[in-house]
Amino acid sequence: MKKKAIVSLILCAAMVMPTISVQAAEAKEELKFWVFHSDQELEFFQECVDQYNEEQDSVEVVLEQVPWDDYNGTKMATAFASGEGPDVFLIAPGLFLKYANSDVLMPLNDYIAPEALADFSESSIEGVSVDDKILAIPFEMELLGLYYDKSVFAEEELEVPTTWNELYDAAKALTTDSRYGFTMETTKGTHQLFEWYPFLWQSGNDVYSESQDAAAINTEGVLENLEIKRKMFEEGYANIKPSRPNTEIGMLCEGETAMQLNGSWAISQMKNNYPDSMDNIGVAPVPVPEDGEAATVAGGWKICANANSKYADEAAKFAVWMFGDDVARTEKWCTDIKFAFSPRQSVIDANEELYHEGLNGEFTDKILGTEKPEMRLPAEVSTILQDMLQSAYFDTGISVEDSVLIAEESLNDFLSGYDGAL
Amino acid sequence: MKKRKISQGLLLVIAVILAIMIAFPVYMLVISSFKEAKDVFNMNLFPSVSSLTLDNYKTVFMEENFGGYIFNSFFVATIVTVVALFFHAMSGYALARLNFTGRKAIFTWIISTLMIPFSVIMIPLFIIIKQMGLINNLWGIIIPMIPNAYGIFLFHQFFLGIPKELEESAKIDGASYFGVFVKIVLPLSKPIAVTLAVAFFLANWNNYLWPLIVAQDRKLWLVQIAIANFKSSQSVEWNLVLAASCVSALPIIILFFIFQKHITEGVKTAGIKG
Amino acid sequence: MTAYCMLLPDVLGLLVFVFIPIIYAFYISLHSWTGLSDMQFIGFDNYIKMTKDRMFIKSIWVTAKYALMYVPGVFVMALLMANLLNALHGKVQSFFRTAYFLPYAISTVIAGIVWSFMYNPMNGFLNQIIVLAGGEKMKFLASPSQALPSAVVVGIWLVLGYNTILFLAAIKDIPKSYYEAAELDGAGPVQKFFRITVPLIKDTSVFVLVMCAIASFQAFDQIKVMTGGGPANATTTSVLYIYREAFETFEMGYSSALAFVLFLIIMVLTLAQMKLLKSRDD
Repeated sequence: MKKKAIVSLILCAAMVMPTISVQAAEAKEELKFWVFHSDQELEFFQECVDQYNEEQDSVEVVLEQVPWDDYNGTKMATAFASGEGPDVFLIAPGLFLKYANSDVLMPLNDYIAPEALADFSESSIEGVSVDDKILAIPFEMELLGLYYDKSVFAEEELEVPTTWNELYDAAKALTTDSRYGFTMETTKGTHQLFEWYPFLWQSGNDVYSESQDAAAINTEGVLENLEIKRKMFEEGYANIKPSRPNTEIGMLCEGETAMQLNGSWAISQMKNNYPDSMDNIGVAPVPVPEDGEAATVAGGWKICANANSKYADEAAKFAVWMFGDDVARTEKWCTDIKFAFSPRQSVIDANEELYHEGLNGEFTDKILGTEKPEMRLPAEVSTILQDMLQSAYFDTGISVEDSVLIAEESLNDFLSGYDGAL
Repeated sequence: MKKRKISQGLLLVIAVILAIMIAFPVYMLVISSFKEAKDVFNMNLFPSVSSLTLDNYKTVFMEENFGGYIFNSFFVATIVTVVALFFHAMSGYALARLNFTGRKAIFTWIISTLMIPFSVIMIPLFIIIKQMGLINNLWGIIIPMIPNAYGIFLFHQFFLGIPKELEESAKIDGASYFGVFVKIVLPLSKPIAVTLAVAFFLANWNNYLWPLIVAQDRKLWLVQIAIANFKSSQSVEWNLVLAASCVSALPIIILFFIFQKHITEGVKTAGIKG
Repeated sequence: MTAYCMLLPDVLGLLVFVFIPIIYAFYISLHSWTGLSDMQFIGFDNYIKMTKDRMFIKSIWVTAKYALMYVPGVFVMALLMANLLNALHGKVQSFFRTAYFLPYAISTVIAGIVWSFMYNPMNGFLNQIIVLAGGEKMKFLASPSQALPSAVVVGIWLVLGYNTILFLAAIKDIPKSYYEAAELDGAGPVQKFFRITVPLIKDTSVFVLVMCAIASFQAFDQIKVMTGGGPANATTTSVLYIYREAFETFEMGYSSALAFVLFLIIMVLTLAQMKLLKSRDD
């Protein structure tokens, strides 16, 4: 009797279920727009989409949310590989070249008005262009800085470090039984690489030689920096296993560390989650080598249109409408929904006050202007460098020199057989 | 008799120590799920009751449509489990008992399907599901999860251990192979079926990657996708992840608690064996 | 005939949803493919490439070490715990069954998070205990040498309860009269265990051994969460490496080729294992 009840229940459910699957309304062309945001950020995108759908009649944009962990990787890869890729999506520098070299990104030059284009910083457009084709539109800019706990520095009567050696000394002085002096990303990945770029550039180095046909990483500056970091990890002054990803300012606010390499996004995080810590946390430029030049890295997402989409033209129009046209949406995103710098000068000009209050001001006055855009490396190069950082920081079975040497060889090997864009 | 008691006592002590070691991380999960966001990482094992809060759970349940995700998970896991058990019992029985050409080859072939990591066949599988028109549909999540060599293998091993005499007496009475299977073998296999049911239900309840790939509309999310969504690009709402995980683990524990008697009562075949 | 009919639903399902995808993955492995544009046929180049791939060879080594710790660990501990449970009675047994089963209900991802708490080098629970006992703090997941064993512990912890239940079910199936007869012959508990229990639960043992071996070759989720394969690739198992090649580097062709080689390795080992376990019996 019981069994029959269960079976019939399942059968009933089975009959109802197909109606729960979502059927697309076939009336209009439908553009799929995938984002990975939630809460007020998702609401912002939804509002924009609603507005766009109201303003025009040719397409209906549908916003779909994908959890962050799998946005870039599995979900996007599977969708594109089976011809089900979204029409409009967001892209980070780490994967830009893969998409660009596969001609998946729709050139947007013809869609952007010249006045709007002139508003973007030159380097931000360079970062998304291949052979003068603009393949994506940047809509935010996140800078990296050195956050620190003011009261801890005051207690120890220490100055905030400005050079690598001072960073080491400060980390050493501030380390206790329950606190690390310094925290940076330890997990292999694009974020660890992101945090390394400033140190690479500060000593005047780069990943490739100027002619872009050989590796240029085996230099004194690179070695010196990696040695210092290995020493900090080995001697226990740097956080060898941060309790969470190093994008989270919580580790600094909760006292796990006295200094933390983190991005400008951390300011909004603090405002939302640690309002009491706001006064106690300061931010300074990333320390440089002796006589080095200040440099930091600028990250941030870009919006792009799928060139293989059935409605590529409409997709391009929407992507440009979103962030490459009226500055209002970019402005709202960077100044109201979250705090970020903008690749568009007019946003910074129009919000003088916001960009100069508190920690924002520290970034604007001391760090902004020294940034270079996050490198758009081919995935293979990125992997080689990620492995280099891992073995240089943690693998005591191999010297820092050898770690760099191996990476240099692999890199030269790769470059000799590569003919895509760099 | 006295010796018995001492050894029982000793065993009990060992059992308790093991239980503490095994359950400790679970305790850690549960206690952390009641902490405020800023306390999650303080690793305080015995926080004062006043520092704990129910807010995480409230927030989780207020999350838009969380009940709906739980329903979806429940639906998917139940259908897969019920259908899979029946199919696998049949296959396991056929492979363990019936003589037919190609038996060994088919068995090896079935086992071999276990050995390729799912992430590798994911893209081809997605293309097949697309051909079937099941993208963005719960059936697209359910159907590919039903065939599973693990269940076939376990049933096969189980049927190998059951004495043949039981079925033979039925066959003499003129029952067909299928009749024997339904009337005699299926009821006998209750312990193993319940064990597998727990495993299948759990695997599908906790399944994340495949449902994520198939579902595009938020309405079709399963509970694990909703949990993953508490992580954003730069910060994770750890307190909510932990609370939601506790919520999602609870049905499995209840299920196990209810059914565990059947798992371990053993097959009542002692009289015939040997 | 009946046999074929009874096999049909599963065989058909495995064919469509597992086997055809595997064949298709093999087809992909003969191509250079990013998943974003059209495939380019390159024959067996991907297979040649991997012979020089230091990372892949290292990952197989890591996987083998994982398996060598994980399989005996699960097998021995589950078997012992099942015997322990079997010696307890009634409500007590059912209480401990549930306690041991608890971890199985937790998703691998969450297990990874919680164990990262336990393993935290600064203030994790395990180091708190070690310090209390007067020991030196350990680095666990942060150390290239300790990370893999630490990850194995989590893997074992997750499935131990379930495999214990499998063994317990098999042990309960052994007629009591066997043990009584052995007792009359003067056999002690150890002898009873090796002479009666072990031989009579052989089918379950084969199952647990084979499935644990296969599972250990596919260890992935909790490792990805806890270490991301680090530090210095010390925990990059083959499946994690294959996953990275596919979904981080977008080398679909190459990752399929890697998966195929892994598939063949597991296949050979599993068949050898099953043969070995069978022949012992005869």
